[in-house]
Amino acid sequence: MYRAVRIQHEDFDLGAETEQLRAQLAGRIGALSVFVGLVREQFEDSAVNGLHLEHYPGMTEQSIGRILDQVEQRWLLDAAVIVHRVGTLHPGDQIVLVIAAAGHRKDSLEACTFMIDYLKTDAVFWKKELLADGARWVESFDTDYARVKAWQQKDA
Amino acid sequence: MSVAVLFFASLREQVGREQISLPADEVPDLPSLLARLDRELGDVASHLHRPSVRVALNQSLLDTDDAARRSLKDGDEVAFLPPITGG
Repeated sequence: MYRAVRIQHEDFDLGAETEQLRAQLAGRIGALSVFVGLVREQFEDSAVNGLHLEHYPGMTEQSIGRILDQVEQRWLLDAAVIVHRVGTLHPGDQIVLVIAAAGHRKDSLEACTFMIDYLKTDAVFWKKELLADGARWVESFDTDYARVKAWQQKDA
Repeated sequence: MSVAVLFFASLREQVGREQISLPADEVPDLPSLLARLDRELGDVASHLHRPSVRVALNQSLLDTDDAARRSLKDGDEVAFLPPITGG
């Protein structure tokens, strides 16, 4: 399986990323599933001016690598790509890109969902919301952990 | 001959430091490192003891039992991590 993990300040180009995989794996893959996470302008009752994302260089890449290890064991994939941005982002900006390419749609769709679910709970990033009246660090959500638990129960 | 201690995200702001370097021979294990940070940082060190804070040694997460036993040596990197919120 071809795998790529990038942590970067700069934006990514969804078209260029998928086109590269399509060219690289032409004829072999029958399905390419993509998830893009975006900055929303509202969180609960607060207007969000932006987000600041921070990571732990080295450890963050390793944490994502372990997610890809699991994906590779569970599904028959030709490629898995994760691009995650850090730094200051604004509403409408792209935060994260997840691509899974496979022979068949079931593998690519499920692997793509698995990767973004696990990014929420296992990837080493911290988000700070920039609000009109100050900034606050985002807390983790029980619902995110529930989704990962559901994947673990499927294993049992 | 030192151990690097890193603080991330909300912990960095609460502690008011990004990094502290401690002499390796004075912090032979994690409990002694925590005791040293309590003295060095004062009240704000209480944030490091919260149950949600995870400790990584050389970029690997430690579980609680592991952390109590683990010895430290020159060149080690200990990081205090608040709950992660990626994706």
